[in-house]
Amino acid sequence: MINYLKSEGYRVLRMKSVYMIPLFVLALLLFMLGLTWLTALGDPNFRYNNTQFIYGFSQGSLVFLIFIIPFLVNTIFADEYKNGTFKNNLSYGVSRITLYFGKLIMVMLVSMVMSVMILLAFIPTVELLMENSGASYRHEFIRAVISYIPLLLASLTLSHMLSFVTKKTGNHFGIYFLIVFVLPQILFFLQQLSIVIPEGVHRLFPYYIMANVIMERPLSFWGIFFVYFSITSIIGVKLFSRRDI
Amino acid sequence: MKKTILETTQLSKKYGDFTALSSINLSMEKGCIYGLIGKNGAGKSTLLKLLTGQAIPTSGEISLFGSSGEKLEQARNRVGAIVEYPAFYPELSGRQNLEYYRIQKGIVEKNSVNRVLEQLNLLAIANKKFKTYSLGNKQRLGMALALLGNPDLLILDEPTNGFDPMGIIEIRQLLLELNQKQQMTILISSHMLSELENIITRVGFIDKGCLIEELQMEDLQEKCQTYIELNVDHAEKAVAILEETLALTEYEVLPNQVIHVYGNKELIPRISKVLNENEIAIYSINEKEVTLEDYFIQLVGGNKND
Repeated sequence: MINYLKSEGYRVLRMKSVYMIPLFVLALLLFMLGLTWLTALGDPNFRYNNTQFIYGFSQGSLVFLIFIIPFLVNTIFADEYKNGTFKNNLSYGVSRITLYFGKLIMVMLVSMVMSVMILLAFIPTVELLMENSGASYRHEFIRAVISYIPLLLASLTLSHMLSFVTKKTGNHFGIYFLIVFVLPQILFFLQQLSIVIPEGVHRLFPYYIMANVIMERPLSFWGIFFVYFSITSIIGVKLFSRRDI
Repeated sequence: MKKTILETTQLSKKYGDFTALSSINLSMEKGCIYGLIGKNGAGKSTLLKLLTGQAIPTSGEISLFGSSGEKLEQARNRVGAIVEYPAFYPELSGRQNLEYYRIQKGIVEKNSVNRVLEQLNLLAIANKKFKTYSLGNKQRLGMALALLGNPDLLILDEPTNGFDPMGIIEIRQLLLELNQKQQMTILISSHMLSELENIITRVGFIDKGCLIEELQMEDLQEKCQTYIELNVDHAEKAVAILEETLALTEYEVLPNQVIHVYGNKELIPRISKVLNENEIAIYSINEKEVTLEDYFIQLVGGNKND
């Protein structure tokens, strides 16, 4: 496992796309901040150039990270099926379980590093450019980021499993969006139509929690991660172990 | 007694109702070069995929270096392989791709990448991205990867695909050298039957998913001996005369008055003289040789191309 992780680290560090994703996200955030700052310069009545608004808005926008996850997973997965590179790993004795969990660890590590780097650039820029509304908003934002980590990891395990069990990127993305985004919407509409949905079932969907900025019982989010991790690992390893490459 | 490196027992693979491989029992001793010969779709690549863990057997067992079952994966660390086509990350250079696998295989010697690049004449293009490589160079890089870390067993599926004639000779020399100097055991499949004939020590013929015959090359050479093909007016009478006057016992009478007399061309003048004296008309007389290809065609029938 260690050697596989080392080799994956070597490969990932040499992939341009790994740098492009955080740069794109960061550029988008900095553009938003710059625009807000410039607008405030020209309009003294502009009410949004303060840390209260920016952190609040960013907190509500964290849900969009769920949609970036499959792109990130796909980048790290590196078209292993299309390139046929899994066959080399297997020929040289890397077990299928090592491949599955090795890639999962790598994608988790890369996404963590990316997130930390983005936050390290984003928070000081907000503090520098925006009017300070008090430290509590920054603390609230950081708390939300930390609370939502298990939900993002849960979505990541789902995307990771799909990248192993579906050979085509389109299928991976399609099924992911269906489970993560469409399914909670259907449940919501069924509830609107007074069809009984078991209590709390919404809270199993990271998208539902993050889109509604639910912050109570953040420790329970680790429970959600554990459920996702267990189910996706069992399905993923089982199907991948039976698959001919 | 030589050590058995690879052994399969009743190895089978099915895809739905289609049986790709049926009860394959194959064994390879240390230091041998085993040639696997079969037509397209005969099951060669499926067998190599099972041996390298790329496909899961429906039934049967594989033993590598005496390890089987759960220990098989560990034993595969001593294997170098190319199956079907060389697979690499297109955005990485040839050198980076090999470095990736060097780290993964836990090969401490950093120079090992350079050594295989040099062995396969790839140093000049080692820093170019894999996606820019020609078919021949992709195949060379695949060979370089297979040789990385001096494996004890080399599994090569059509290794000379995309090579020019000089490249084929070069690879053949390299394989022979590795086998003779390092005692590397090699399992090789190829549609270039003439290519295999020159290097293999053991041969396995595979057809419709079954291993139909396994032979040592010496045994095959005996079967592939030269013979004289005669076309006469009275084959039965001719063989009786040849048996009586020249004491020839190794012959075969075929339809259309054709006789195969096993022996070399020095027999031709004596045969023609004896048959002329006995008023047997000879329509044609030639020396012929059963090649590996001929033997293969006899065995499986159909077209000789793989």
